[in-house]
Amino acid sequence: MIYNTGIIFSWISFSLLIILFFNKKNLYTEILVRVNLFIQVLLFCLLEVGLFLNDFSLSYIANFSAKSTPPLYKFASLWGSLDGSILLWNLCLSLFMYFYLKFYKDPSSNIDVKIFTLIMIFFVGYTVFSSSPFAGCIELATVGCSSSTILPFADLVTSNIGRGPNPLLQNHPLMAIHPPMLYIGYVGMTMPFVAATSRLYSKKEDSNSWIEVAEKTTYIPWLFLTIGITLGAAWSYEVLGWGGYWAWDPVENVSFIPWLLATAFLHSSKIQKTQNTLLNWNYILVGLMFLSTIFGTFITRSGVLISVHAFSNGNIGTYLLFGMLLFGLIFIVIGSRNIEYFSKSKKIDNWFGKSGFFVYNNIFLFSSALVVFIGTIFPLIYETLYSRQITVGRAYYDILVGPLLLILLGLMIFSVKLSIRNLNIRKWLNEYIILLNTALIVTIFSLFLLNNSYSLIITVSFSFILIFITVNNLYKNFRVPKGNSSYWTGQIAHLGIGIFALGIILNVSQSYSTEKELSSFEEFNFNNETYFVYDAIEESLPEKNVIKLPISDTEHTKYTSLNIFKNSSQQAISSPAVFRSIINDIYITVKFIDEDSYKLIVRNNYGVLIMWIGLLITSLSFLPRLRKNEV
Amino acid sequence: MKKNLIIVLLGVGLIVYASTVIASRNTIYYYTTSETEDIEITTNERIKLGGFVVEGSISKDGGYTVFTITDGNKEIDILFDGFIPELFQENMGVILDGVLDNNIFFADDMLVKHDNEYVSSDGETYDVKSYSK
Repeated sequence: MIYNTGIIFSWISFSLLIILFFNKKNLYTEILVRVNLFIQVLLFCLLEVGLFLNDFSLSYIANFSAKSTPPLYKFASLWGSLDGSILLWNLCLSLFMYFYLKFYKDPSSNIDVKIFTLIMIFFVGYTVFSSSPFAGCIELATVGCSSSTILPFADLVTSNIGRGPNPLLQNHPLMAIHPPMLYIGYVGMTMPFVAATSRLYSKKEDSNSWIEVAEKTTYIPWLFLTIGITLGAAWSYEVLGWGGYWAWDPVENVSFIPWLLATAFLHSSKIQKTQNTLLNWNYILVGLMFLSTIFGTFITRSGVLISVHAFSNGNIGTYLLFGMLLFGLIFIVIGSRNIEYFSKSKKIDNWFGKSGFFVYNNIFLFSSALVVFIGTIFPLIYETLYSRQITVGRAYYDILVGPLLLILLGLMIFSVKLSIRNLNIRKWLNEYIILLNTALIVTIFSLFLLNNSYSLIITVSFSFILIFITVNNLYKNFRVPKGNSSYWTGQIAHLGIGIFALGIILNVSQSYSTEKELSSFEEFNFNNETYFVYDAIEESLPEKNVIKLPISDTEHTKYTSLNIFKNSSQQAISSPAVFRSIINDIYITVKFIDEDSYKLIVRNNYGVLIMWIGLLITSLSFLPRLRKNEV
Repeated sequence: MKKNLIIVLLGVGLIVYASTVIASRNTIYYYTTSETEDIEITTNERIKLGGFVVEGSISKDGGYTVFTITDGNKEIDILFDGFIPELFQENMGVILDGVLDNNIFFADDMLVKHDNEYVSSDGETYDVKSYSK
């Protein structure tokens, strides 16, 4: 039932999109876009219904869900693996298409509908021709399904329990929201791409209208990317038990690349709007943003790289490469038709004023994106050339990205009240002299408490200066509201980044760990606090067995646990016990459990909560945009 | 415009060059156990070694976990001192991080492969038995 309906409606959606692409009448456009959105919502609900009804005649449900899977993770199983996640992708894409055409449609031309539709055809086409989450199971595996069909009305076989989602994906609720956030971020980058290509294709005199639309539509996916990346890092920290939050894993990298590019574009589009410069550069950025999201999906989903995240295989790789080529070509062709327009771009006239600083900002953000990109594809190229598998060590990113981000932090200090004319350092110093001194004093005091290093001193002082100046500025202007909303957005985002930078440098430079060997009912000392270890408790839940080890400090009892999932791949996940405070976390994981003796890894992780707070503030930067109904 | 283009291209070229150089100095190689025979590995060079945990080979020695891994053709003894992220067990595919010395691999980091199958370099597939406690 779900199988036939799902496949047939996928086909209908695909045909509608084809009609939409060739359709000439405006009247039908709106209806078709709505119907398409409706079908995508329907397909999404249909698969959810299947998941909750345990319809194991669907290969996807048999392989990535199980009867014993708890409801939240059943719901999240829809995007737990490739085929289902494309369904979510399509839903987001049709939502954005509806949204874009409602608010930003170019009234004089239909080309934006066509480009958007083409992109949609590409992704819906995958579920129609290659592999669909509604594929029916025609051959059973020991558990789950081994062979399936994407044609309707076949005779299906039904497995009886289902394999269940990847254990990693069903151990923490964050996993249920982190991927959709990233998807919205990825998919949303389609909007600026459509804005740029369609409005430049129709070549009008006021061609700069594209930049406004592109800027507005970039902010939304940027926000979701920020939230998605933050949640991913938080998930990694809370669940994976390795004490860290970011590993420069290829899949983390590919979410970071579009974020860096979008951040660059959000800045450089501002000076195009006011000073008509960097036209060609902005166009390139928009294109790269969009292509980098497809590249990201390619890396995540094609299994070309060895990575904790590389979940799946199949022919999606070639399909996505083809997509990148196709959209890249459209992008280049439209760009080359506008050479004349781009040549009207004004020169940057002052390198020490607003435009200059925005150019520096772009140089460093773009360089970071490039460095991360090269680090990500380097193993691929290396393997092609020398047929050896390698990974790029963490040191690569520490050497290259660290300093770039530090420079950006430094630049941000001047972002407040940056005049279009040249920045007058003396006047600037005079204005902020009290704040600067306070910041430096705070820095010096906090450095007394910390293990020092060169980068630490610079980062801490930069962060404090940035935080003080933005807070001061926000406070002063809050009482006398003025300025436009994007200015406020910027200040809040910068404040968040300043706090985040403080957190991350504390974390990197101050954290340390130790190992403790103990038996049940023993206590140990760590960081001037006494911790007491109880006896391990075994718990059996429908989907997993949990071995919990209670540990308490003077006030709380927390559990560090090993989660062993049934009827799925035989893997256990160790969850940490975290004693939190603003400055540092005591983070305890089990290394060994042997009868009633334990080997624990005890970490003192600094700054983690500060990092989350910083990123939260950065995410709140959308608040000023709500004013005046600006989207 | 042309001048700008040249500057941008030069800049991009410079970054690409610098990144490539630094990346190639920070590579970590992946080996399967039999590959270690064919390729010369200098002592102290950090590598990643992939293989299957041999049944009945796991023991504890002081703070270390000692076990043997294989890709079906060659076995290598592992001296592991590090955080075991997942409950580690026999017959499981692992990727270890460390240094090889005299056919003993000193590892301090472990990644457990998520899939149920391990494909060795000769293309043969080895199934991992299901979890039992």
